[in-house]
Amino acid sequence: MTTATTAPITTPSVEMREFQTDVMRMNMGPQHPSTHGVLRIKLELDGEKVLKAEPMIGYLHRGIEKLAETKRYNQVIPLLDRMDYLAAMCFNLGFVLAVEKLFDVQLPPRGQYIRVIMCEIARLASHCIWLGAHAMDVGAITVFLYTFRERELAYDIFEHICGQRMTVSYMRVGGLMNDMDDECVTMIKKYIETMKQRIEEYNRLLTKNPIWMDRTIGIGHMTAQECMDMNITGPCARGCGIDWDLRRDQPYSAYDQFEFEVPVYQAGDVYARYLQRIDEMRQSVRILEQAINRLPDGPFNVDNFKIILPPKELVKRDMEAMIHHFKLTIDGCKPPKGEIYMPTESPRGELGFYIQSDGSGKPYRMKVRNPTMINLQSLGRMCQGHFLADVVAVIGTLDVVLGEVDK
Amino acid sequence: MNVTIDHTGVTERLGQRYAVLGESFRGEQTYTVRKQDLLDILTALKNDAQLQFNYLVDITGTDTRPLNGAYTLCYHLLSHKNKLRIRLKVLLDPGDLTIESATSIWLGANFQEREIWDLVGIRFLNHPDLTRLYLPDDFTGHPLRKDYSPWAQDTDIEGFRG
Repeated sequence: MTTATTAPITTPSVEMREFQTDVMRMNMGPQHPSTHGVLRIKLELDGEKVLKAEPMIGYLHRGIEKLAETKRYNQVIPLLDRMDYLAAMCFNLGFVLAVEKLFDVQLPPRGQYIRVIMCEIARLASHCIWLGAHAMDVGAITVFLYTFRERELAYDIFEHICGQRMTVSYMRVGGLMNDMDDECVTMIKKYIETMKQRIEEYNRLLTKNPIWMDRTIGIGHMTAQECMDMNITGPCARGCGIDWDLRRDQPYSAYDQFEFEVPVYQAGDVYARYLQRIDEMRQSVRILEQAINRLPDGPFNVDNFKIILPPKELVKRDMEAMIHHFKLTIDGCKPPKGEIYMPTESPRGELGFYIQSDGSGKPYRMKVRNPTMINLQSLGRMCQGHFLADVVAVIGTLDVVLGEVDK
Repeated sequence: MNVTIDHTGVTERLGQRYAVLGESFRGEQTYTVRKQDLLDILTALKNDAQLQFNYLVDITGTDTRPLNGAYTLCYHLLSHKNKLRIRLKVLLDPGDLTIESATSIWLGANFQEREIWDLVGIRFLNHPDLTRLYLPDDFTGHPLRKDYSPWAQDTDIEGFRG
């Protein structure tokens, strides 16, 4: 069979650089399972390599800032729940603190503690969803099932305290919707004990997992200087070596009364940001534990019926309370003229509310500094030079919530 | 060496040169600056060894025509070193709604300036890609202006009329 004319079989030596490849432009999303909503990414690809990635947003834009100008201060809160639907408590807190800063009032200790407790539970729930979705994006489906189990526990607490699971609208300007009862305290104590074990469980599932490490180490690298240039805040920045947490450095509510550490990682890749968030969950549990054990007694609302509704029993028998109730319902609370910017630490970065008040019951201008929208700018930088499959890892590490990005 | 600077320090180091007027409300310091000085001031604040305002946290555009007949831009700066925040304010004449883009100093200003162009209609010169951020490209008008009605029956967008 063999003849001398048959050419010997040799493996052709392939040099990738010798191929002339065309740049391919591709859309990823808006309907893509790993874009966590309606994020569209314009990609320029050279084979599997990403040359350029540009996020296109706005598919969920509802004009919340414009709507807020037509609503009284307390009516803005339900809109904000629909911005960051994974950590609505933190958005509640950011807004009411901003308006309270305009009024120059502070809550009694019990109110402040309950707010901190609720925000830290929201942070844990939000990080649970981030972890589950992030791990699922890169192929580890198990984690998702575990984290969603714990998210349910957090949402049960929210449901118990305010009747809603996600869009809570729990906080009010000058106070809270209602008090925390003993049953809720028991639930939270149980939740703390559960979370302590479960965080270590996630840790065992992923941290030393070779597939997870392969998919995340060295991916999406950013330096601290690049973070500052792009104004990246929150866990994304702390994973790049920026030691800054508003809860510690510019404390609000009662955060200055708790002992906790701010985990900072220098590596700046997806894995470092993963470790950072896991550590942050541990610290959140630590804050929760201190807050629930030291929960003070006493009133939880400010003592000023020009800001917060008087109790219903009082309204029924007291003329003055009745008038306050009527005025607040019709006109809303009226902060003095002025403008303020109130930064708080949301699970995704610095959440800022800039409110300009003209002395009426509605904000003249309310601007939300939505952290993910600004963090999202780094997507192109993080994806550059990596493979297409790494784009989903980068989206995961940015912890995108499109309701918040799109306002 | 490790001197912490507060608001008076900022005023001392910068106020005489640029700030037209400083006002304080609830512990927040506002400097109103002239449009043509803005980039110089931002650069100075960022690079000054003592001040080190390393974050341009937020840019807000507001239609303040009913209040003072101008548009207002607020730049919120943050210094990690001094744990200090200041606000720079620029008033823009409605007849000339342009200002130099801050993207040459902070890349992160990109989306925020696109957002302001989209919603308020202030044009940023020398911006790398000044297109609408949230709204579709064929959208007319800038919704956060005060003369733009928030109600559907007042808009003439097809399919949106109430």
